[in-house]
This record gives sequence, structure tokens and C-alpha cells, in this order.
Amino acid sequence: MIRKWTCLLLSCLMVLAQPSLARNGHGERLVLVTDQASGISRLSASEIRRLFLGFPVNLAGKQLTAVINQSDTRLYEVFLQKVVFMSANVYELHLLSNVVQLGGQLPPTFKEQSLLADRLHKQPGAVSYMWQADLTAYPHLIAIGELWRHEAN
Amino acid sequence: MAPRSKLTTFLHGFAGRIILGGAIIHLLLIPFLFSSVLFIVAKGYKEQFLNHVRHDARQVAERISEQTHADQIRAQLDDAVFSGRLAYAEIIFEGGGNIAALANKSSNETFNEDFYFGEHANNLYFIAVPFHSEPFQRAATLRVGYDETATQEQIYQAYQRGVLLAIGYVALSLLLVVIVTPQLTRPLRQLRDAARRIVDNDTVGHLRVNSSIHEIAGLAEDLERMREKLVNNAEAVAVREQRIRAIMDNVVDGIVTIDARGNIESMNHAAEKIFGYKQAEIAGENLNLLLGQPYACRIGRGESEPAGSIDDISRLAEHETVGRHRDGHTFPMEMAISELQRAEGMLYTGIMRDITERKQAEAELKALQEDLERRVIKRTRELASLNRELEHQALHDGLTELPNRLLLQDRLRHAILTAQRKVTPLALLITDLDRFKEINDTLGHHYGDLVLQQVAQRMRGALRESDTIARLGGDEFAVLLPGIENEADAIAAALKLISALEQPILLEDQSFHVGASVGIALYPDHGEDGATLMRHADVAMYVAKRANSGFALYDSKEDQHSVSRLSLVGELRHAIEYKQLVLFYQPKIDLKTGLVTTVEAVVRWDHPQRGLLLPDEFIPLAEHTGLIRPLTFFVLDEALHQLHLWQKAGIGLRMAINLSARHLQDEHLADKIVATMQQWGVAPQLLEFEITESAIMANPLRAMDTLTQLDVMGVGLSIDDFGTGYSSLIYLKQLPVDEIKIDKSFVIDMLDNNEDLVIVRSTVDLAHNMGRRVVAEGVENEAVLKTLIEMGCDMAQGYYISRPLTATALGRWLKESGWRLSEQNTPQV
Repeated sequence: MIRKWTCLLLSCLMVLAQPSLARNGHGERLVLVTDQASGISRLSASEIRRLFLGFPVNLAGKQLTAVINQSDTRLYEVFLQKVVFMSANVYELHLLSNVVQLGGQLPPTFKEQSLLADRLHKQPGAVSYMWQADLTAYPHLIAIGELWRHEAN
Repeated sequence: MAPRSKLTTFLHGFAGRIILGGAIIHLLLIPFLFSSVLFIVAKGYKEQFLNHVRHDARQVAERISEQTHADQIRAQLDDAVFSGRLAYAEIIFEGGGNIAALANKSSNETFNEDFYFGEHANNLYFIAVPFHSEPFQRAATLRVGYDETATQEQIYQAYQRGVLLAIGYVALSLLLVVIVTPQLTRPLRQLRDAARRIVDNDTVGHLRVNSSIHEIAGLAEDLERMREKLVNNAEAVAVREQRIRAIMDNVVDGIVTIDARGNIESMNHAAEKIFGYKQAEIAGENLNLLLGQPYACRIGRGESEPAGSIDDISRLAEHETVGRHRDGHTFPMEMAISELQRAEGMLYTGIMRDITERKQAEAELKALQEDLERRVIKRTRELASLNRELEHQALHDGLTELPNRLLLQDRLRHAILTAQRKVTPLALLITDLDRFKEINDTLGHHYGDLVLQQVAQRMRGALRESDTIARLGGDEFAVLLPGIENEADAIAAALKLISALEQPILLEDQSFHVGASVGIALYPDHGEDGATLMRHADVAMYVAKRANSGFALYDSKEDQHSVSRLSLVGELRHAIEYKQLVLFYQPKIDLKTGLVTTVEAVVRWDHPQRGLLLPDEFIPLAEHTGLIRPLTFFVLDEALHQLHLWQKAGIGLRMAINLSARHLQDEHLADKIVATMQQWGVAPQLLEFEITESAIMANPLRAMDTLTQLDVMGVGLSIDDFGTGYSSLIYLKQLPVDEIKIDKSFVIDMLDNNEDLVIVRSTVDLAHNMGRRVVAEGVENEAVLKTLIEMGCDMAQGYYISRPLTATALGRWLKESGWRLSEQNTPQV
């Protein structure tokens, strides 16, 4: 009985670990994305950090909007470490502090990636991030920069 | 039940439960609580670590990016590693080559970037920060590693302190529970002890428990109230028990209580008296001691005991059995057992009654009842016999034993139904004897009854067995002839009857001719129901009698007479009341002087439709219906009134008035006559009453009394219609009569019939020899008158002298005819 349950538990863990293993593999890329109709072609590392830290960023007279993707824990941690260089709590406190000091709104946060894609499509100037591999599921989105790439040692 | 260990006992107690409950709660909650706290603390440490390394790695990269020489870059890297800020630092250029800190602690570790604290389990957190020469053109990458050990130790220490804190908390809690719990349970123990004292009936002392816990204080108060109530209830129960005991001791029936084993628990005084035992000596003994041996019950005995005649006690409910007295004698007893379920087992209550006296009374009652039943049976038989006799009497005539009117009607109804079914005629004959009335009136009822019996016998002999002969009453009979073929059969039967009754009837050496008139009605020609046939046969019978034809068949034309006869009764009553009757007066002359001395008052009915009716047309009707009495009193009143008028006019006539046989039975006749005479001032010597011979002989003794009364009054008395009845000379001799009137049937034809002449002459001689005056009726010619004078007859009356006349006409007649009043009677002008 115990053996049976152990096998079942291991199988479940393997299934759950499959996407993570895949993304840990070579070629895993975190890209900056926006809607094709947004007209945004490229952002500097500084603009990206400012945008996601809640500071206003204009591009060709257009106000850009950051959209936070929390659909994947690892995706979010990579984003925190590679873009804003903060822990999750500190980042959220920072955003809150910015809203209190500068006004405006907190960047919208999505735990469902399809909803996030809809938001990008409906709101030109909205910028977010996702795995390169997931981008193929949303043809109207385009990658406008690479935020991180897994590299072999 | 196995004895409990001390621990088990403790854990089942209130304190044990509190301690056990506290321990369980802490064991469940403390790990959860402390693990949650520790998780949050650890997470905080990790968050703090991650934020530090990400922020610091960027600052390191920014400072290095400001350096342009490789030596300076390495120097900064070494400085960071030596200072302990970093555990590893290296720059990898895109074009190849690298700069690594000399003091890298983990040169053996393979760089594998971490994104979580503790990832890859190498105690190092690797992080890479790219350098960009221009936007999105990476020139090199800074790889740094931070030591995770310090943070891990902090987390570990937090775990250690948390566990110690939890253990200390648990220990302190348990210590407090152990100290506080006994203080909580002490008042409960006191309450328990108090409750036990109450259970042991120790309810004298008041319950006092001091506790600051209001629930326990409230419980103590409730328990104290309960104790007080128990005390009160116990006192009430004791009083009630005494009362019940007193009642039981005064109950007439014996009451015995028995336990589940059949042993006697108690008995009342009545039971002691019934069985002769005292309660003290019988308590604990088995119930069977009180029962007769064959009736012992099974209660409380073992199953192995053979049943025999022993009954289960439950069958003894409301049972008559036999009781056994202490002295050994048995007696009949009534016993009722009822069951009562008690906590300690069944309780049976037996109610017992000595029924010796009742049994004796029942035996006596039974004997009486049997005797009564015998008498009832005997009486019932007698009544049945009597009923049969009564039924026979109800349906038969007692004198002739013939069916009576009721039975005739029943048979007639059945005969009509049969005739309807068979479509055959039937006949109903009504027979009336012609001269029975005279026989009955003259010789008395005894002879009349004998005649009727012989008539019935002859009628039975003359007809078929299937014919029904019934006596309707008096001398009237009915004959039902079923199954005849035609009218001729009915007439033949009628002739047979007439023939049978024409033969003289012999009674005590005397022969009597009765004769009969028969009326015949046929079904369905003369009526389709019994009542109609009876009425029509009756009508036919009257027709036959009037015509003296022997028999007559019903004729609807004759029926009118019957109807008129019935209506005449009502009209006659009306005529008497409204004085429609008129008196005529027929003179009687003295044959020796030729003078008119007396007039006979004769009544006529001046009927508004039928004209003047003669007495023969309504006097018989009056006699049959009882109207003769008022009619006679009317005549008496009118006649005396007229006599009074004549007296005033100086006409000295005597007045003769006819009396019916019924008047001789009237006790008040004399009083009425006296009163009327006084009313009109008429002397009794001027009044004379004529009574028929048959009326006198119907009841000679009664007639003698009445005539004697009249004679004493001084009125004259005359025997009317003499010779037509059966006079007894002995009676005739004794009767106080002054005059005998020879019936006109003898006088009218006496010159042509020698026998009549002999009778008239003999009667005249007989009357004279007896000292009576003789009057001849029916004198219709001079020859007869002369013959009567020659015979020495005293007086005469008849059409030759005068028909009956009104008072006015009589006055003219007295003036105009040759007959005169005596001088002394001549009216004084």
C-alpha cells in the first residue's frame, strides 16, 4: 500500500515539474512583449526598469503602461531578479510607495496569462513579459526585447 | 466490571478531563501555531536575503562598470570577496575571457544562477548581472555568489527558539492546569458528597458550598432547593402512605400485595379477617397459602415445577376461586389481580372478597328463577290456550258457535279474492227471523237463545260444509256461498234455508214457528267488495221481509228504500226536536151508553217531503234507534197539553197514550209522567196508558213493577193488541190493568171467521171474569159493533166510529157525528 502511494506521489511530482524542467533547459528566454498594434519596437534596459518600477515612460509621445505577469512563480522571480533587482515584498512596497508619492495607479497584475494577453491587445502602450515559448500562443503579441536567457556554464 | 486504574479514574474525573483536554489542545495548536510563526520568520529572512543580494549585485555591477582597467576591476572583485560581502565574483566577457576574484571561496562550485533561497543546495546564491555596451548589446556578465549560510543559521536559530518557547509554554500551561483544576473541582466534590448524603436519606443538614464560580454556586443553590423539596415530598409521601394505609384498613375487600416471587408483602385488616392471619405472621409467605389447593397459582415458582392444576397468576385476574382460612376451611372467594411495574420488580395487588353469602343467595335466586321459569312456561301455555279460546270467541258467536261478523268479513274477503282469480260468482245471504222478536219478548231471552241455537243447527244442516254461516247479531244471520255457478244456486240455497226454518221449533213441549226472510246479493253483479255485498244483501232482506216473500234478490231500485230508511232516522230526531210530529185522536165509545169517554192519542209525522207518515212507518225505526223515548215524552207532553186545553174548554175526555216495551224498562217513567201531569194540571184519573201484550211479556216482572207504580199513581192501564202474543194468564191475572184491548186482526173479520169470533167472545168473557174492561179495536162496520154489544163488550174503537182526528177535527166530529160526550163531560158553554 505504501509503495503504491509513493509511486503515485512521485508520478505527480514529475508531471508537475515538467514545465519547470523544460524552462530550466537550454534556450529558456524571458522576453518583453507588447501588442503588434502598439507601435513600440524597442526599449532600453533603463526604460524597462523605470517602466516596471512605476515611473512614467513616454515613447514617441505615447505613455507606456507596465503589466505584471504573475502567471508563473519562476517567471515572476526571474523578472524580479533581472529587471527590478528586488525581492517580491520590497517590489510591491516600492510600487505602493510610488503610487502614494507620485500618484497614478498600481500596474495591473495578472495570474492568468490569456487575460494578460487580452489586456495588452486592448490597451496599446501596455508592456509586459512572458516566456518566449508561450508567445506563440498569442499571435497578436510581439517580443520587443530579451530580458533574460538561460545560458550554459 | 473490571476495576479502573488510578490513571483511568483520574482521566474520567473532572480534573483529569480538564488536564487531558488542555494537553490535547496544546498538542494540536502549538505545533501549528509555532510552525506558522517560524514559516513567516523564515520567509522574512529569505525575502530579506533575496532583496539584499539582488540589490547588492546590481550595485556591484554598477561600480565595476565605472572601471576601465582589468586590474581595477579585479581589485574591486577581490575587495568584495575579502570583505565577506561576496563569496564569489567573476566577470565573463562576451568575446571570451574572464576576470575572477582571487579569493573566491567557491571556485569549485559551478555557476548555476539561483532565483530562490537555497536553490541548488550549495549554500551559495548565484546571480548574474549583464553589462551592456549599448542598448541590448551585452558586452559582459557579472557573476556573483552570496553565502546563504548566515541566513540559514538565523532561520535555524529561530526554529530552535520557537521549539523551546513552545515546550516552555506547554509546560507552563499544564502546570497552571494542575494547580488550578483541584481548586475548581473542590466545590464539585462537595456537591457530590452532599448529593450522596441526600441519596442516603441524610437530608437533615443544609447544603453549604462556597464558590466564586457562579455556575457552581447556582448548582449548589439548586441542589439545596432539591433537598428541601425532597424533604417536603418525603413528608407528603409519608402522610399519603398513612392515609392509604388507613383507607386500605377500612376497605371491606381484602387487599394483599404480592412481590414478583409470589410472596405476600402486606395485607389489610379486611384480608386478615378473611383469612385469619395477622400481617406480621403472613408477610413473606407464598400467596398459595391463602388459596385452596386446586387453585394455587404458579407465581414465584421455578420453571421446573409441574404445572398440574396450578394456574399462572395472570389468569387469576377477576376470577372466582377458593380461599383457604387459617383454620383450614375453604370458602368461595372472588379475586382480582392487578400488576404494577416497580423498579425492584413486579408488584401484584390482589383484591379478595369472601363471597360465601353471595353464592348462597345466588343459589337461592337460581332456584327461584327456575321455579319462576316453570311458572312462566305453565302460564304461557295457559295464555296460549286462552288466546286460542279468545281468538275463537273473538271470531265466533258464543251462543250458536257460528262465525261472527268479523270472521265472516274475513272469509268474505278471501272468497272475493278467490272469485276474482277464478272468475266465478259467489253469493251472500242475509237472513232475519220473522217472528223471533215476539218469541224473545214474550217468552224471554232464555227461550230466544234456545231458538237461535236450533236455527243455527238447522241452517248448518241445510247448507254445504264449505258454506259459511255467521250470526251477525240478534236474529240476523249471514250465509256465504262460495263457488256457486249462478243466481239459481243462490236462490236454491235460500229456499233450503227458508224450508229448514219453516218447520216448527220445539222448546219444552211447545212448538214455535219462526220463519225467515232471506236477502241475496251476488258477486260481482251486486257488488265487488264485502261491505257493498253486505249492505245490498241487507237491503234485499228488508225487501223480502216487507213483501213477506221469503227471499229477495238484490235490486238496485229497492236500495233507495234502505237509504231513505237511514236518512229517516236523522230526520225523525230533527222532527222530535222541532215538533214536526202531530197528534191525532181516535175516540173510544162506551158500548153500553154510546157515549165518547176516551180518545187514544195517535202520532203522525208531518214530513216536509214525504207528507203525513203513519206510525208504522217510523215507530219501529224509533224503537230500534232509541228515539222512542223522546218521541213518547213528546206525545205525553202534547197529549196532556191538549187535555189541559180540553179541560179548560169543559170537554171531559180521558186520554189514552201508547207506551212501548222500552218504557217498561225505564225507571224514571213514573217520575216523568207525574211531572208532566203536574205541569198541565191533569188528574191521573183522566190519563190511561196502553201497553202491548208482547211488551209486557218480554219482561213480566219488570213490567209488573212499572205498571204497579203507574197504578198507584191512579192512572188507567190497558193491554193493547191482546191475542197476538203469548200471554200468561197467571201474569195477566196479577197485572194491575183496568182494560184489555182485543187486537183488530180478530175483530175485523170475526163475522166471517168463526175462530176470530170465538176468540173475541172468549176474550170478552175472560176479561170480565178477571174483572177487566174490554175494548174491541178495528170496528169498521155496524154489524161488528152490534155483535160486540151483544157479546157484552164494554167499549169499541175503529173507523166505523171515527178515524184518528186532529184536535180541531175531533171538536167538529163531537158536534157533528151522532156520538156524544156524557153530560158531565159536555163542554160548558
